[in-house]
Amino acid sequence: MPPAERQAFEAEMARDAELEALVRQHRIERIGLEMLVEQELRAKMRAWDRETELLQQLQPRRARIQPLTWVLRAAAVVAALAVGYWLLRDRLSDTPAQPDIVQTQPKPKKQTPTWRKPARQPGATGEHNMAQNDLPPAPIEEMQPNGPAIDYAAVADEFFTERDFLPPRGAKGGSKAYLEGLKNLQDGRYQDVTSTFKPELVPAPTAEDVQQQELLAVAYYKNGQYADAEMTFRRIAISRMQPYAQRAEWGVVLSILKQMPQRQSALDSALDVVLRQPEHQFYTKAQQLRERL
Amino acid sequence: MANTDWSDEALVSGIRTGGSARDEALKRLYLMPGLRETVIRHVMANGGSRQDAQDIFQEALVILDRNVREGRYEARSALTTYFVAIAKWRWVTVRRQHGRYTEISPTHYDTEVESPEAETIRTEYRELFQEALAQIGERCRELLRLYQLDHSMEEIAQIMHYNSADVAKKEAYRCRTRFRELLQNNPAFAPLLENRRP
Repeated sequence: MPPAERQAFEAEMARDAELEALVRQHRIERIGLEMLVEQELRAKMRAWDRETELLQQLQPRRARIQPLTWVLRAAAVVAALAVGYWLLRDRLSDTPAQPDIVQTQPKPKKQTPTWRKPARQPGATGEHNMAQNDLPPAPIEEMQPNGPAIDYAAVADEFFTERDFLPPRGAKGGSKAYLEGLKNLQDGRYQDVTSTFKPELVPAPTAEDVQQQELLAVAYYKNGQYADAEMTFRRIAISRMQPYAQRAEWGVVLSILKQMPQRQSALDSALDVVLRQPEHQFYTKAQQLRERL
Repeated sequence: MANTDWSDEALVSGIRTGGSARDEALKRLYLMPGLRETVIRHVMANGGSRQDAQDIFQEALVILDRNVREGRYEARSALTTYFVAIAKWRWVTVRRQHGRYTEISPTHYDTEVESPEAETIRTEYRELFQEALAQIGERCRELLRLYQLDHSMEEIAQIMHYNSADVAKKEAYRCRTRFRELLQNNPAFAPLLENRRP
């Protein structure tokens, strides 16, 4: 407010007690509401600090990798030289010795061993011929530690609620493209959504861009394309645009849950992201999920 | 497109624009090389610990964000100079509140900062405000946060999945009324609202 206008307004307030009370109440409310903005900014600063810490942790690791690369390279050269020497030595030892002048009878010529095809066992198939130790590696699932079997997909279904990510049927807020996509998704035409929206987010996205990506992520999820859903949710989470980012962090957890048990460590860290923020929209759900697992 | 030209004007405009532009501008300031170190050096040279300095640095960004959005930054100095001035002034206030310091706060930028009364209210009533905010529910908090950041009702409707800007407006009114009632019904706020602070 320009100084003159401000002075006039203050003079009016001094005359009108009711106006002064109203202005005062409005100011106090604003101070209170500013705390919402402050809380959000403080949460962001914590996230930036975490990012910086992570980068700093990576920095020395990169520095350690540099000399390690040189050591590995040197080791490879030494190994190559050793193999070369060994082959050369073998070849030299294979060279026939100079014939002895005294010897009258020529040495019998060295015979090359002939390869014989092993006798085929009657009724044996190729697979049966495979040695015991040549069994194919166990699938990753079988390598998991033993424990009570968890039906991760069912748990994910239990925790996934469409309403967490999408507005109710018939909602009108949003662009035409978004509303069309939303209707397709709600009618179960997931591929129409995945073929309409590109899985990418511009560097400084608008709310509409992020909304469309959220629609795409849910369509991938509902269509059983969990890895694609995870990537799309991650992209939204990185944008940090609220409330989409928090919803997306939860979406990442559920998408990984659908890819379990192979993604245990990814699931742990995705859950940690939510559980580190008590003010997170899905904090309680994340706690419940961790207890279930 | 991401902004790569981070002049003071671009930073201020980013903060005022809101959304991801505000996030980017504030992040840029928060991670600006040398800025944090300057604040840390000042606080530590004036009786504070490293932790005090980190807190002051974060508070300075909160205040700068608020001042820029509310039009109190008049670009009479570089944004980083303004930031450091806020941090110094904030450290003086904190020390005075803790009875460790009696020097009056600097006045060379006092028209660009919030009134001392607002600052006192913010500090003294923080917990009571938070209590009231906790009672209005998550949806209301998010809506009022967007409202506070000057998002239009159309944007709020889009972000919060309301059917229209009108619905968002009604919801904002309902949430704000609820918040106001909570303040009015809390006897601790009575002297403040009636302008007869204890």
